[in-house]
Amino acid sequence: MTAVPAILAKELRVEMRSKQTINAYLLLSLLILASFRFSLALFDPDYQTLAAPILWTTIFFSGMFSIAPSYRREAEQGTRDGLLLAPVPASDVYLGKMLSSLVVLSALEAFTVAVFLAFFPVDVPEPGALVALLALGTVGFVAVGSLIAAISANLRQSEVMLPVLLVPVLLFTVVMSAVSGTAQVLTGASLDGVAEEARLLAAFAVVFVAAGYLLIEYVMEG
Amino acid sequence: MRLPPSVRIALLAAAAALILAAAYLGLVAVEVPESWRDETAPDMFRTMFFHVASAWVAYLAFGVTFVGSAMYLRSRRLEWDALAASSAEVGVVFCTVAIISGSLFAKGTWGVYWLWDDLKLMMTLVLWLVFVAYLALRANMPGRQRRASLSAVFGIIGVICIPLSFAANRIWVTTHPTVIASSSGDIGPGSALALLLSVLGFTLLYVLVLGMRLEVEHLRDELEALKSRVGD
Amino acid sequence: METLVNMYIAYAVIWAGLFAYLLKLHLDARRIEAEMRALREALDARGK
Repeated sequence: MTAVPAILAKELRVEMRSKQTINAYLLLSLLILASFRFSLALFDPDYQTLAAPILWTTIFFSGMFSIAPSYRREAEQGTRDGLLLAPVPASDVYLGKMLSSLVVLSALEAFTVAVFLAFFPVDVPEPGALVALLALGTVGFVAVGSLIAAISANLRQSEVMLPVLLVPVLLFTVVMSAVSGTAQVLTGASLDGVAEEARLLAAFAVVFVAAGYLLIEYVMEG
Repeated sequence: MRLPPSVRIALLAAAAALILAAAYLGLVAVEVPESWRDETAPDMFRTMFFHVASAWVAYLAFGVTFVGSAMYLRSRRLEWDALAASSAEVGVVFCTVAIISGSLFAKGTWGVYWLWDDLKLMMTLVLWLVFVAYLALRANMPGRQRRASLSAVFGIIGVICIPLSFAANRIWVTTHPTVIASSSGDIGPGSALALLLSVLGFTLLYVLVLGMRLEVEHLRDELEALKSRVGD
Repeated sequence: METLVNMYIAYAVIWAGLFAYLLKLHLDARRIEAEMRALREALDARGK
Protein backbone atom coordinates (compact mmCIF):
# COMPACT_ATOMS: atom_id res chain seq x y z
CA MET A 1 0.00 0.00 0.00
CA THR A 2 3.06 2.21 -0.02
CA ALA A 3 2.32 3.83 -3.31
CA VAL A 4 -1.15 4.99 -2.35
CA PRO A 5 -0.24 8.43 -0.95
CA ALA A 6 1.90 9.13 -3.99
CA ILE A 7 -0.90 8.19 -6.35
CA LEU A 8 -3.41 10.17 -4.34
CA ALA A 9 -1.17 13.22 -4.47
CA LYS A 10 -0.66 12.87 -8.21
CA GLU A 11 -4.37 12.44 -8.89
CA LEU A 12 -5.26 15.48 -6.84
CA ARG A 13 -2.61 17.50 -8.60
CA VAL A 14 -4.08 16.57 -11.96
CA GLU A 15 -7.53 17.50 -10.73
CA MET A 16 -6.33 20.87 -9.45
CA ARG A 17 -4.57 21.63 -12.70
CA SER A 18 -7.72 21.24 -14.70
CA LYS A 19 -9.94 23.39 -12.55
CA GLN A 20 -12.50 23.63 -15.29
CA THR A 21 -13.36 19.98 -14.77
CA ILE A 22 -14.80 20.24 -11.31
CA ASN A 23 -16.67 23.37 -12.26
CA ALA A 24 -18.46 21.41 -14.92
CA TYR A 25 -19.67 18.87 -12.37
CA LEU A 26 -20.77 21.57 -9.95
CA LEU A 27 -22.73 23.04 -12.80
CA LEU A 28 -24.18 19.65 -13.62
CA SER A 29 -25.39 19.23 -10.03
CA LEU A 30 -26.93 22.65 -10.14
CA LEU A 31 -28.72 21.92 -13.39
CA ILE A 32 -30.06 18.56 -12.25
CA LEU A 33 -31.45 20.15 -9.11
CA ALA A 34 -32.88 22.97 -11.18
CA SER A 35 -34.69 20.59 -13.51
CA PHE A 36 -36.17 18.76 -10.53
CA ARG A 37 -37.22 22.05 -8.98
CA PHE A 38 -38.80 23.44 -12.10
CA SER A 39 -40.66 20.31 -13.06
CA LEU A 40 -41.95 19.69 -9.54
CA ALA A 41 -43.02 23.31 -9.07
CA LEU A 42 -46.04 22.52 -11.21
CA PHE A 43 -47.38 20.11 -8.62
CA ASP A 44 -46.69 21.50 -5.15
CA PRO A 45 -45.68 18.14 -3.69
CA ASP A 46 -44.45 17.36 -0.18
CA TYR A 47 -40.80 18.28 -0.57
CA GLN A 48 -39.79 16.97 2.82
CA THR A 49 -40.68 13.47 1.61
CA LEU A 50 -39.21 13.88 -1.85
CA ALA A 51 -36.01 15.41 -0.54
CA ALA A 52 -34.05 12.19 -0.04
CA PRO A 53 -34.69 10.74 -3.53
CA ILE A 54 -34.00 14.06 -5.26
CA LEU A 55 -30.80 14.69 -3.34
CA TRP A 56 -29.36 11.24 -3.85
CA THR A 57 -30.32 10.99 -7.50
CA THR A 58 -28.52 14.26 -8.13
CA ILE A 59 -25.47 13.13 -6.20
CA PHE A 60 -25.34 9.80 -8.00
CA PHE A 61 -25.59 11.20 -11.48
CA SER A 62 -23.29 14.17 -11.15
CA GLY A 63 -20.94 12.13 -8.99
CA MET A 64 -20.83 9.27 -11.46
CA PHE A 65 -19.65 11.56 -14.21
CA SER A 66 -17.03 13.13 -11.96
CA ILE A 67 -15.47 9.72 -11.26
CA ALA A 68 -15.24 8.74 -14.89
CA PRO A 69 -12.32 10.93 -16.02
CA SER A 70 -9.82 9.46 -13.60
CA TYR A 71 -9.59 6.26 -15.64
CA ARG A 72 -10.59 7.59 -19.00
CA ARG A 73 -7.67 9.98 -18.83
CA GLU A 74 -5.30 7.04 -18.77
CA ALA A 75 -7.01 5.34 -21.67
CA GLU A 76 -7.00 8.49 -23.79
CA GLN A 77 -3.57 9.81 -23.02
CA GLY A 78 -1.85 6.47 -23.18
CA THR A 79 -0.46 6.80 -19.69
CA ARG A 80 -1.86 3.38 -18.92
CA ASP A 81 1.18 1.55 -20.20
CA GLY A 82 3.38 3.75 -18.04
CA LEU A 83 1.31 2.84 -15.03
CA LEU A 84 1.46 -0.82 -15.87
CA LEU A 85 5.23 -0.80 -16.29
CA ALA A 86 5.89 1.02 -13.05
CA PRO A 87 6.33 -1.32 -10.08
CA VAL A 88 3.10 -0.12 -8.55
CA PRO A 89 0.50 -2.74 -7.81
CA ALA A 90 -2.82 -2.12 -9.52
CA SER A 91 -4.64 -2.17 -6.20
CA ASP A 92 -2.60 0.80 -5.01
CA VAL A 93 -3.58 2.68 -8.14
CA TYR A 94 -7.20 1.82 -7.43
CA LEU A 95 -7.02 3.04 -3.84
CA GLY A 96 -5.21 6.21 -4.80
CA LYS A 97 -7.72 7.06 -7.51
CA MET A 98 -10.61 6.13 -5.29
CA LEU A 99 -9.43 8.42 -2.49
CA SER A 100 -8.90 11.25 -4.93
CA SER A 101 -12.42 10.75 -6.32
CA LEU A 102 -13.68 10.76 -2.74
CA VAL A 103 -12.09 14.17 -2.16
CA VAL A 104 -13.58 15.59 -5.34
CA LEU A 105 -16.95 14.04 -4.62
CA SER A 106 -17.00 15.44 -1.06
CA ALA A 107 -16.60 18.92 -2.47
CA LEU A 108 -19.27 18.20 -5.06
CA GLU A 109 -21.66 16.89 -2.43
CA ALA A 110 -21.17 19.81 -0.11
CA PHE A 111 -22.04 22.09 -3.00
CA THR A 112 -25.01 19.94 -3.98
CA VAL A 113 -26.47 19.91 -0.48
CA ALA A 114 -26.06 23.68 -0.21
CA VAL A 115 -27.82 24.29 -3.52
CA PHE A 116 -30.47 21.76 -2.63
CA LEU A 117 -31.29 23.52 0.62
CA ALA A 118 -31.38 26.81 -1.24
CA PHE A 119 -33.79 25.51 -3.88
CA PHE A 120 -36.11 23.35 -1.85
CA PRO A 121 -38.14 24.23 1.27
CA VAL A 122 -36.72 21.40 3.36
CA ASP A 123 -35.82 21.28 7.06
CA VAL A 124 -32.83 19.37 8.38
CA PRO A 125 -33.58 18.47 12.00
CA GLU A 126 -30.51 16.25 12.39
CA PRO A 127 -27.63 17.66 10.32
CA GLY A 128 -25.06 15.39 11.99
CA ALA A 129 -26.96 12.26 11.04
CA LEU A 130 -27.43 13.56 7.51
CA VAL A 131 -23.72 14.17 7.07
CA ALA A 132 -22.94 10.73 8.47
CA LEU A 133 -25.27 9.04 6.00
CA LEU A 134 -23.92 11.07 3.13
CA ALA A 135 -20.40 10.08 4.06
CA LEU A 136 -21.19 6.37 4.41
CA GLY A 137 -23.16 6.22 1.21
CA THR A 138 -20.50 8.09 -0.72
CA VAL A 139 -17.69 5.73 0.24
CA GLY A 140 -19.52 2.70 -1.10
CA PHE A 141 -20.62 4.63 -4.15
CA VAL A 142 -17.11 5.80 -4.99
CA ALA A 143 -15.61 2.39 -4.31
CA VAL A 144 -17.76 0.53 -6.79
CA GLY A 145 -18.03 3.55 -9.08
CA SER A 146 -14.26 3.67 -9.49
CA LEU A 147 -14.07 0.02 -10.43
CA ILE A 148 -16.89 0.34 -12.94
CA ALA A 149 -15.34 3.54 -14.32
CA ALA A 150 -12.13 1.59 -14.86
CA ILE A 151 -14.11 -1.00 -16.82
CA SER A 152 -16.16 1.42 -18.88
CA ALA A 153 -13.12 3.50 -19.83
CA ASN A 154 -12.11 0.59 -22.08
CA LEU A 155 -15.44 0.15 -23.80
CA ARG A 156 -16.91 1.71 -26.87
CA GLN A 157 -19.51 4.31 -25.96
CA SER A 158 -17.78 4.61 -22.61
CA GLU A 159 -19.74 7.70 -21.54
CA VAL A 160 -23.08 5.94 -21.62
CA MET A 161 -21.73 2.57 -20.49
CA LEU A 162 -20.73 3.96 -17.10
CA PRO A 163 -24.31 4.60 -15.92
CA VAL A 164 -25.53 1.48 -17.75
CA LEU A 165 -23.15 -0.67 -15.71
CA LEU A 166 -23.20 1.27 -12.47
CA VAL A 167 -26.88 1.89 -11.85
CA PRO A 168 -28.03 -1.76 -11.71
CA VAL A 169 -25.30 -2.56 -9.21
CA LEU A 170 -26.04 0.48 -7.04
CA LEU A 171 -29.79 0.42 -7.23
CA PHE A 172 -30.74 -2.04 -4.57
CA THR A 173 -27.66 -1.62 -2.48
CA VAL A 174 -26.43 1.91 -1.92
CA VAL A 175 -29.36 3.78 -3.46
CA MET A 176 -32.22 2.22 -1.51
CA SER A 177 -30.43 2.20 1.83
CA ALA A 178 -29.12 5.74 1.47
CA VAL A 179 -32.46 7.14 0.39
CA SER A 180 -34.36 5.24 3.06
CA GLY A 181 -32.02 6.35 5.82
CA THR A 182 -31.87 9.95 4.63
CA ALA A 183 -35.65 10.17 4.33
CA GLN A 184 -36.01 9.08 7.93
CA VAL A 185 -33.32 11.47 9.11
CA LEU A 186 -35.05 14.35 7.38
CA THR A 187 -38.24 13.56 9.25
CA GLY A 188 -36.42 13.66 12.55
CA ALA A 189 -34.76 10.29 13.12
CA SER A 190 -31.37 10.36 14.82
CA LEU A 191 -28.42 8.30 13.68
CA ASP A 192 -29.49 5.53 16.09
CA GLY A 193 -32.87 5.52 14.47
CA VAL A 194 -31.34 4.65 11.14
CA ALA A 195 -28.74 2.29 12.57
CA GLU A 196 -29.97 -0.42 10.20
CA GLU A 197 -29.35 1.66 7.08
CA ALA A 198 -26.11 3.07 8.41
CA ARG A 199 -24.76 -0.39 9.12
CA LEU A 200 -25.77 -1.55 5.66
CA LEU A 201 -24.07 1.39 3.99
CA ALA A 202 -20.94 0.72 6.01
CA ALA A 203 -21.08 -2.95 4.97
CA PHE A 204 -21.45 -1.98 1.33
CA ALA A 205 -18.50 0.34 1.64
CA VAL A 206 -16.33 -2.44 3.02
CA VAL A 207 -17.44 -5.01 0.45
CA PHE A 208 -17.08 -2.67 -2.51
CA VAL A 209 -13.65 -1.41 -1.49
CA ALA A 210 -12.48 -5.00 -1.02
CA ALA A 211 -13.95 -6.02 -4.38
CA GLY A 212 -12.32 -3.09 -6.14
CA TYR A 213 -9.00 -3.73 -4.46
CA LEU A 214 -8.98 -7.36 -5.51
CA LEU A 215 -10.47 -7.10 -8.99
CA ILE A 216 -8.81 -3.97 -10.37
CA GLU A 217 -5.75 -5.84 -11.66
CA TYR A 218 -7.93 -7.80 -14.07
CA VAL A 219 -9.39 -4.61 -15.39
CA MET A 220 -6.11 -2.82 -15.83
CA GLU A 221 -3.91 -5.46 -17.38
CA GLY A 222 -2.86 -5.05 -20.98
CA MET B 1 -18.85 -28.42 -26.47
CA ARG B 2 -21.38 -30.22 -28.54
CA LEU B 3 -23.89 -32.41 -26.82
CA PRO B 4 -24.37 -35.56 -28.88
CA PRO B 5 -27.83 -35.79 -30.44
CA SER B 6 -28.84 -38.79 -28.32
CA VAL B 7 -28.13 -36.86 -25.12
CA ARG B 8 -30.02 -33.87 -26.45
CA ILE B 9 -33.07 -35.90 -27.30
CA ALA B 10 -32.97 -37.59 -23.91
CA LEU B 11 -32.76 -34.22 -22.16
CA LEU B 12 -35.55 -32.81 -24.26
CA ALA B 13 -37.77 -35.80 -23.57
CA ALA B 14 -37.08 -35.69 -19.85
CA ALA B 15 -37.69 -31.96 -19.68
CA ALA B 16 -40.90 -32.25 -21.66
CA ALA B 17 -42.12 -35.12 -19.52
CA LEU B 18 -41.45 -33.27 -16.29
CA ILE B 19 -43.02 -30.06 -17.49
CA LEU B 20 -46.08 -31.75 -18.88
CA ALA B 21 -46.53 -33.72 -15.66
CA ALA B 22 -46.24 -30.53 -13.66
CA ALA B 23 -48.66 -28.82 -16.00
CA TYR B 24 -51.18 -31.61 -15.68
CA LEU B 25 -50.93 -31.60 -11.92
CA GLY B 26 -51.01 -27.86 -11.64
CA LEU B 27 -53.72 -27.14 -14.15
CA VAL B 28 -56.00 -30.09 -13.67
CA ALA B 29 -55.36 -32.54 -10.90
CA VAL B 30 -54.50 -30.44 -7.90
CA GLU B 31 -56.98 -28.69 -5.67
CA VAL B 32 -56.57 -25.00 -5.06
CA PRO B 33 -55.47 -24.75 -1.43
CA GLU B 34 -57.55 -23.20 1.36
CA SER B 35 -55.76 -19.88 1.58
CA TRP B 36 -56.23 -19.22 -2.10
CA ARG B 37 -59.91 -20.07 -2.43
CA ASP B 38 -61.31 -16.73 -1.48
CA GLU B 39 -59.14 -14.71 -3.84
CA THR B 40 -60.82 -13.04 -6.76
CA ALA B 41 -59.64 -15.69 -9.20
CA PRO B 42 -58.70 -18.84 -7.29
CA ASP B 43 -57.72 -20.71 -10.41
CA MET B 44 -54.89 -18.25 -10.99
CA PHE B 45 -52.97 -20.22 -8.42
CA ARG B 46 -52.50 -22.91 -11.04
CA THR B 47 -50.35 -20.68 -13.22
CA MET B 48 -47.89 -20.09 -10.43
CA PHE B 49 -45.61 -23.06 -11.16
CA PHE B 50 -44.43 -21.76 -14.48
CA HIS B 51 -43.42 -18.46 -12.94
CA VAL B 52 -41.59 -19.93 -9.97
CA ALA B 53 -39.71 -22.39 -12.15
CA SER B 54 -38.55 -19.74 -14.60
CA ALA B 55 -37.46 -17.41 -11.78
CA TRP B 56 -35.46 -20.28 -10.29
CA VAL B 57 -33.74 -20.88 -13.62
CA ALA B 58 -32.95 -17.17 -13.98
CA TYR B 59 -31.13 -17.23 -10.65
CA LEU B 60 -29.42 -20.49 -11.52
CA ALA B 61 -28.22 -19.05 -14.80
CA PHE B 62 -26.82 -16.10 -12.96
CA GLY B 63 -24.98 -18.40 -10.60
CA VAL B 64 -23.45 -20.17 -13.58
CA THR B 65 -22.36 -16.83 -15.02
CA PHE B 66 -20.67 -16.06 -11.73
CA VAL B 67 -18.85 -19.38 -11.67
CA GLY B 68 -17.79 -18.93 -15.29
CA SER B 69 -16.51 -15.42 -14.55
CA ALA B 70 -14.55 -16.45 -11.48
CA MET B 71 -13.08 -19.51 -13.16
CA TYR B 72 -12.07 -17.48 -16.19
CA LEU B 73 -10.15 -15.01 -14.03
CA ARG B 74 -8.46 -17.88 -12.25
CA SER B 75 -7.57 -20.06 -15.25
CA ARG B 76 -7.65 -17.67 -18.24
CA ARG B 77 -9.33 -20.34 -20.30
CA LEU B 78 -11.80 -18.88 -22.74
CA GLU B 79 -14.21 -21.81 -22.37
CA TRP B 80 -15.18 -20.41 -18.99
CA ASP B 81 -15.88 -17.03 -20.51
CA ALA B 82 -18.02 -18.70 -23.18
CA LEU B 83 -19.98 -20.40 -20.41
CA ALA B 84 -20.47 -17.14 -18.52
CA ALA B 85 -21.63 -15.27 -21.60
CA SER B 86 -23.97 -18.00 -22.82
CA SER B 87 -25.53 -18.46 -19.41
CA ALA B 88 -26.07 -14.71 -19.18
CA GLU B 89 -27.98 -14.65 -22.45
CA VAL B 90 -30.09 -17.67 -21.57
CA GLY B 91 -30.57 -16.12 -18.14
CA VAL B 92 -32.00 -12.93 -19.63
CA VAL B 93 -34.51 -14.97 -21.58
CA PHE B 94 -35.71 -16.90 -18.54
CA CYS B 95 -35.63 -13.77 -16.40
CA THR B 96 -37.83 -11.98 -18.91
CA VAL B 97 -40.19 -14.94 -18.86
CA ALA B 98 -40.19 -14.89 -15.05
CA ILE B 99 -40.99 -11.20 -14.87
CA ILE B 100 -43.74 -11.36 -17.49
CA SER B 101 -45.36 -14.45 -16.00
CA GLY B 102 -45.07 -13.00 -12.51
CA SER B 103 -46.65 -9.81 -13.73
CA LEU B 104 -49.54 -11.69 -15.32
CA PHE B 105 -49.98 -13.69 -12.14
CA ALA B 106 -50.06 -10.48 -10.12
CA LYS B 107 -52.65 -8.99 -12.43
CA GLY B 108 -54.78 -12.09 -12.13
CA THR B 109 -54.61 -12.42 -8.35
CA TRP B 110 -54.10 -8.94 -7.02
CA GLY B 111 -55.32 -6.83 -9.87
CA VAL B 112 -52.05 -4.99 -10.53
CA TYR B 113 -49.24 -5.76 -12.92
CA TRP B 114 -46.48 -4.74 -10.57
CA LEU B 115 -45.75 -3.95 -6.93
CA TRP B 116 -42.96 -1.52 -6.30
CA ASP B 117 -42.60 -2.44 -2.67
CA ASP B 118 -42.10 -6.15 -3.06
CA LEU B 119 -38.65 -7.56 -2.43
CA LYS B 120 -38.58 -10.57 -4.72
CA LEU B 121 -40.09 -8.66 -7.61
CA MET B 122 -37.54 -5.89 -7.27
CA MET B 123 -34.65 -8.33 -6.96
CA THR B 124 -35.65 -10.12 -10.12
CA LEU B 125 -35.87 -6.80 -11.91
CA VAL B 126 -32.41 -5.87 -10.65
CA LEU B 127 -31.15 -9.26 -11.79
CA TRP B 128 -32.57 -8.60 -15.22
CA LEU B 129 -30.90 -5.17 -15.31
CA VAL B 130 -27.55 -6.63 -14.31
CA PHE B 131 -27.82 -9.35 -16.98
CA VAL B 132 -28.68 -6.83 -19.63
CA ALA B 133 -25.87 -4.50 -18.53
CA TYR B 134 -23.47 -7.46 -18.73
CA LEU B 135 -24.54 -8.20 -22.29
CA ALA B 136 -24.26 -4.50 -23.20
CA LEU B 137 -20.72 -4.53 -21.85
CA ARG B 138 -19.81 -7.49 -24.04
CA ALA B 139 -21.40 -5.88 -27.07
CA ASN B 140 -19.17 -2.85 -26.59
CA MET B 141 -15.86 -4.61 -26.16
CA PRO B 142 -14.39 -6.09 -29.33
CA GLY B 143 -11.15 -7.82 -28.24
CA ARG B 144 -11.70 -11.41 -27.10
CA GLN B 145 -9.38 -11.48 -24.08
CA ARG B 146 -10.22 -8.02 -22.79
CA ARG B 147 -13.91 -8.68 -23.25
CA ALA B 148 -13.57 -11.82 -21.21
CA SER B 149 -11.66 -10.11 -18.38
CA LEU B 150 -13.86 -7.04 -18.16
CA SER B 151 -17.13 -8.94 -18.27
CA ALA B 152 -15.81 -11.43 -15.72
CA VAL B 153 -15.08 -8.59 -13.29
CA PHE B 154 -18.49 -7.05 -13.91
CA GLY B 155 -20.15 -10.42 -13.59
CA ILE B 156 -18.58 -10.89 -10.19
CA ILE B 157 -19.60 -7.41 -9.01
CA GLY B 158 -23.12 -7.99 -10.26
CA VAL B 159 -23.40 -11.27 -8.44
CA ILE B 160 -22.01 -9.86 -5.20
CA CYS B 161 -24.69 -7.24 -5.08
CA ILE B 162 -27.58 -9.71 -5.29
CA PRO B 163 -27.13 -11.26 -1.84
CA LEU B 164 -26.12 -7.82 -0.56
CA SER B 165 -29.43 -6.50 -1.80
CA PHE B 166 -31.35 -9.35 -0.21
CA ALA B 167 -29.69 -8.67 3.11
CA ALA B 168 -30.29 -4.96 2.76
CA ASN B 169 -33.91 -5.12 1.91
CA ARG B 170 -35.31 -7.36 4.56
CA ILE B 171 -36.37 -4.07 6.09
CA TRP B 172 -38.99 -3.84 3.36
CA VAL B 173 -42.48 -5.18 3.74
CA THR B 174 -43.25 -7.92 1.26
CA THR B 175 -46.50 -9.08 -0.20
CA HIS B 176 -44.85 -11.79 -2.25
CA PRO B 177 -46.44 -15.10 -1.38
CA THR B 178 -44.02 -17.37 0.42
CA VAL B 179 -45.53 -20.61 -0.67
CA ILE B 180 -42.44 -22.69 -0.87
CA ALA B 181 -41.29 -22.79 2.75
CA SER B 182 -42.62 -25.88 4.44
CA SER B 183 -43.54 -23.95 7.56
CA SER B 184 -46.05 -21.88 5.68
CA GLY B 185 -46.60 -24.78 3.31
CA ASP B 186 -50.31 -24.71 3.02
CA ILE B 187 -50.31 -25.45 -0.67
CA GLY B 188 -50.85 -29.15 -0.28
CA PRO B 189 -48.71 -32.11 -1.34
CA GLY B 190 -50.03 -32.20 -4.89
CA SER B 191 -49.00 -28.65 -5.58
CA ALA B 192 -45.67 -29.15 -3.88
CA LEU B 193 -45.03 -32.05 -6.23
CA ALA B 194 -46.08 -30.00 -9.23
CA LEU B 195 -43.70 -27.27 -8.11
CA LEU B 196 -40.84 -29.72 -7.74
CA LEU B 197 -41.49 -31.28 -11.13
CA SER B 198 -41.74 -27.94 -12.87
CA VAL B 199 -38.48 -26.74 -11.29
CA LEU B 200 -36.68 -29.92 -12.34
CA GLY B 201 -38.15 -29.80 -15.81
CA PHE B 202 -37.18 -26.18 -16.30
CA THR B 203 -33.68 -26.89 -15.05
CA LEU B 204 -33.25 -29.56 -17.70
CA LEU B 205 -34.66 -27.16 -20.25
CA TYR B 206 -32.09 -24.62 -19.15
CA VAL B 207 -29.27 -27.12 -19.61
CA LEU B 208 -30.53 -27.86 -23.09
CA VAL B 209 -30.81 -24.24 -24.11
CA LEU B 210 -27.44 -23.45 -22.54
CA GLY B 211 -25.90 -26.24 -24.59
CA MET B 212 -27.35 -24.79 -27.77
CA ARG B 213 -26.16 -21.30 -26.93
CA LEU B 214 -22.67 -22.57 -26.05
CA GLU B 215 -22.50 -24.26 -29.39
CA VAL B 216 -23.22 -20.99 -31.16
CA GLU B 217 -20.54 -19.29 -29.06
CA HIS B 218 -18.04 -21.99 -29.90
CA LEU B 219 -18.86 -21.73 -33.59
CA ARG B 220 -18.39 -17.97 -33.48
CA ASP B 221 -14.93 -18.41 -31.98
CA GLU B 222 -14.02 -20.92 -34.68
CA LEU B 223 -15.25 -18.53 -37.34
CA GLU B 224 -13.13 -15.72 -35.92
CA ALA B 225 -10.09 -17.97 -35.90
CA LEU B 226 -10.73 -18.92 -39.51
CA LYS B 227 -11.20 -15.31 -40.52
CA SER B 228 -7.90 -14.29 -39.03
CA ARG B 229 -6.19 -17.10 -40.96
CA VAL B 230 -7.79 -15.97 -44.19
CA GLY B 231 -6.55 -12.49 -43.45
CA ASP B 232 -2.94 -13.62 -43.82
CA MET C 1 -63.14 -17.34 -16.03
CA GLU C 2 -62.45 -15.06 -18.91
CA THR C 3 -59.29 -13.75 -17.23
CA LEU C 4 -58.10 -17.32 -16.93
CA VAL C 5 -58.45 -17.86 -20.66
CA ASN C 6 -56.54 -14.66 -21.29
CA MET C 7 -53.83 -15.90 -18.98
CA TYR C 8 -53.54 -19.16 -20.86
CA ILE C 9 -53.22 -17.25 -24.10
CA ALA C 10 -50.53 -15.07 -22.54
CA TYR C 11 -48.64 -18.15 -21.39
CA ALA C 12 -48.93 -19.68 -24.83
CA VAL C 13 -47.34 -16.52 -26.18
CA ILE C 14 -44.51 -16.83 -23.66
CA TRP C 15 -43.82 -20.43 -24.66
CA ALA C 16 -43.87 -19.35 -28.30
CA GLY C 17 -41.28 -16.70 -27.43
CA LEU C 18 -39.07 -19.30 -25.77
CA PHE C 19 -39.22 -21.54 -28.80
CA ALA C 20 -38.55 -18.58 -31.06
CA TYR C 21 -35.32 -18.05 -29.13
CA LEU C 22 -34.38 -21.69 -29.58
CA LEU C 23 -35.11 -21.38 -33.26
CA LYS C 24 -32.92 -18.28 -33.47
CA LEU C 25 -30.04 -20.14 -31.84
CA HIS C 26 -30.47 -23.01 -34.25
CA LEU C 27 -30.51 -20.73 -37.28
CA ASP C 28 -27.46 -18.83 -35.98
CA ALA C 29 -25.55 -22.08 -35.73
CA ARG C 30 -26.44 -23.11 -39.27
CA ARG C 31 -25.56 -19.68 -40.64
CA ILE C 32 -22.14 -19.66 -38.99
CA GLU C 33 -21.42 -23.17 -40.22
CA ALA C 34 -22.28 -22.11 -43.76
CA GLU C 35 -19.97 -19.12 -43.47
CA MET C 36 -17.17 -21.32 -42.21
CA ARG C 37 -17.59 -23.78 -45.04
CA ALA C 38 -17.40 -20.91 -47.53
CA LEU C 39 -14.25 -19.59 -45.88
CA ARG C 40 -12.63 -23.02 -45.82
CA GLU C 41 -13.32 -23.46 -49.51
CA ALA C 42 -11.78 -20.07 -50.16
CA LEU C 43 -8.71 -21.13 -48.18
CA ASP C 44 -8.42 -24.44 -50.07
CA ALA C 45 -8.89 -22.72 -53.40
CA ARG C 46 -6.12 -20.30 -52.51
CA GLY C 47 -3.84 -23.11 -51.47
CA LYS C 48 -4.04 -24.72 -54.87
